[in-house]
Amino acid sequence: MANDVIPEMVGATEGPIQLGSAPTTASLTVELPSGPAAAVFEPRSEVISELPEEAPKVFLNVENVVGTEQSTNYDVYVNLPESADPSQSREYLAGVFPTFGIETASASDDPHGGSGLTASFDITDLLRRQHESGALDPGSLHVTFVPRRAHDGLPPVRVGRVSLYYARNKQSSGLLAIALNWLMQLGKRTSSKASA
Amino acid sequence: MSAREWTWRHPEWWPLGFSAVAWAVLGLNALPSGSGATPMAAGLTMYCQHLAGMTSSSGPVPAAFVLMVVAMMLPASIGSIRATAARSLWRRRQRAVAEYVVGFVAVWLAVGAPVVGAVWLLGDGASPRLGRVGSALVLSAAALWQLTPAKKRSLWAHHRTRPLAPSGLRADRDCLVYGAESGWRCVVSCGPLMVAMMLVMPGLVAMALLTTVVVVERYRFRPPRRLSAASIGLLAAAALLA
Repeated sequence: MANDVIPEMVGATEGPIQLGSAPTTASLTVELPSGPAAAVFEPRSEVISELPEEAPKVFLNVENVVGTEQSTNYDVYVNLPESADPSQSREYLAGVFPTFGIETASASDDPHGGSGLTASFDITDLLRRQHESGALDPGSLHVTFVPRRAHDGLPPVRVGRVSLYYARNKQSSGLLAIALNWLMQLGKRTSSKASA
Repeated sequence: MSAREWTWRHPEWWPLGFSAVAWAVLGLNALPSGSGATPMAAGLTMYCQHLAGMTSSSGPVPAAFVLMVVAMMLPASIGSIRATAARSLWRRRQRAVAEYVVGFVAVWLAVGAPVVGAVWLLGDGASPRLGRVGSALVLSAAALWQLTPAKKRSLWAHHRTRPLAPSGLRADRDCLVYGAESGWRCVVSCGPLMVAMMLVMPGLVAMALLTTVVVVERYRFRPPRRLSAASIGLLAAAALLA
């Protein structure tokens, strides 16, 4: 069936975050979804562990990252414990935020408009693991940025905002979707017969 | 798709609804009238008088300007409106869109007020009659503006997004500021054209054509500025030959 995602923002940081040569942590408060995601999610973390495979996804967006010079890339960790060594805590790693092209993306007179860089990380499985280990606080999220190559004089980078989105998988039930699904199944059967 | 889901996917529906209403009002008042003024000027005068009991000295120019901004400029802001809604908490996304629209229109009104006032004075309460040569010159100036670096930069800047606080007064402020910033970029981009429209008061078809030009150049990655300059130039030629 055709899947249509309707993302819903459920939390974001209040202001910009300055990144430098030391790890930086930002917190965001997570609200209950009240839009498309509300139809699928129950409050808090219980439902995350019960999600079927095609359940909605949770995305972490790092938005409007600007800088005037090329800097290092940043590892992005979610809910990294304060005392943990990031290099030994890869289970908290959401992904790597690359700063390649940051100067061009930040230039106000560039064809892209000067909004900076934005990246999105699928953290559904990461949060599921944290929930299963009892480490998840569903009402808040801490995001830690760790420079991959820290050194004095690292050009500063400013993150405009970190936000959290729930993306509900909307399964279309229209006739077209049913027909497409039937054709897909027919195609699979045909190809499996051909290969047999 | 249900109506509710359609509105989920198209948060810009009600600003565009306002735009459609503005077009309808402009269209109704573009119907031929028996007065010596242009049909739009006469029609809008009657409309304003009917709605607010204004005297004929109030003139149609301010009302026409507001209607034109809502009709022509809001459709060019669909992308920013959708970005505002998508980047807001669901419970306040319509409020965020409203704040964006208020900021956007407020800048146009603030910048347009002295221009509208000057046009009003020139026309002694109605749209001034420039004549063929005057209309052609004004539209030609607007066409040449399309080719300037400032126009190009303002078109690029239109795609800029802004981080929005999630809730509270900061969120309200950020949405208003985002709308105002977009409005300013829009003024730089389309201001000369709008001034020309106020002075020339072209017909509805010409306005629709120019709105299409504005929207296309906003949403093409490489805006067809020469095409849009040529379109306005053609209008100037039409004004000269009319």
